[in-house]
Amino acid sequence: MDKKIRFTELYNTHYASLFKLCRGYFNGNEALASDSAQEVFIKVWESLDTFRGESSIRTWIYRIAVNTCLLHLRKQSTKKEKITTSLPHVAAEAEDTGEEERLQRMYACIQKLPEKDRLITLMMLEGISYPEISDVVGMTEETLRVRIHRIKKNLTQCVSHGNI
Amino acid sequence: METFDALQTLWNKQLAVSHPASAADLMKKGEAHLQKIRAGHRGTIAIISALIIVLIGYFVAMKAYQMNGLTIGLTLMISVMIARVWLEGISATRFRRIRPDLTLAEFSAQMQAYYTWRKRVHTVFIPTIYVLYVLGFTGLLPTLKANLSPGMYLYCVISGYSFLLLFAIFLVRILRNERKLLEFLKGLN
Repeated sequence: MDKKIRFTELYNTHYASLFKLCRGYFNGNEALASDSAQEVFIKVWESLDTFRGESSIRTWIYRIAVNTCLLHLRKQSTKKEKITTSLPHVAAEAEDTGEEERLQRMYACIQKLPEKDRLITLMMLEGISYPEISDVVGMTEETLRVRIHRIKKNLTQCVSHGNI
Repeated sequence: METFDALQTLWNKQLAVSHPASAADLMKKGEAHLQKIRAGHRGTIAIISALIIVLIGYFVAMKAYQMNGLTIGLTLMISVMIARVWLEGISATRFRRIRPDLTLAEFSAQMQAYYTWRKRVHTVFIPTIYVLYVLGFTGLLPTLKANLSPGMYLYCVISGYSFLLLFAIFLVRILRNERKLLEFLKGLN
């Protein structure tokens, strides 16, 4: 398949999900998330010829995304950007005012997780399967399952009570 | 008490995301980035070549084959500048060789190795280069004093050492930031 067509297809399919992952990683900061997500796709374009199909293309893109989010710190002089001006909103049809608040608490709680757990959580929330996540982070599925069990417990506890 | 399924539902309810750029724009940016990398390679080679040509040109033009303060000072300064550019070139190449599609574990291990190398560069090589540069500059001063007006000489001394001081502060800041990053990468495991 022509590289340009393939890239356009990948971009249209995966951008939204990757953007949400980056936004979650950068505590809802839309500008940082947009920059990072675009950087991911620039790297995808640059490396697409080297993709050998040893993993699924989605796993491959998520590897680039996760590493790019980490790498973004290299450009920032400080460890991570904590400040955010506005957090994402739930869709308009979801009129429950409490949901906005819960979503904001959820973002805040994701920030409290250790770096690797944060990335795992965000991939989980984006519907990436456990085998794929283990392939992205480079840990056994068994270890990942134990870790995810602990993350879920911590996250739900934090959103409910405000502490991990 | 929240359940994870409820949080998942909440996550899925977030507003749809629009694409800020077209795929074609990103392809263009990707190509521009690749060209920039290639230009960077050529730039590094050009700077080193220019410095070597200046050094050789000086020796030929001034017939400065005897070792005096000016010759030693200039040779030392240009040589360490070449070493500095070469070191940065090596660092940039090592950094680019870290593939972005590695697993997080492999990627963070390679990044750690990279920043450990950078730490060595900043704590061993750069201070050595810096000291040699200062020695080279100091070696030039007697010749400058003999050949320049007192005002111009004073200007050279003040601007030269001020630059060296600012450069030292700049290096310390880079070292501090990169150390922080190294600690952060170690903390990932």
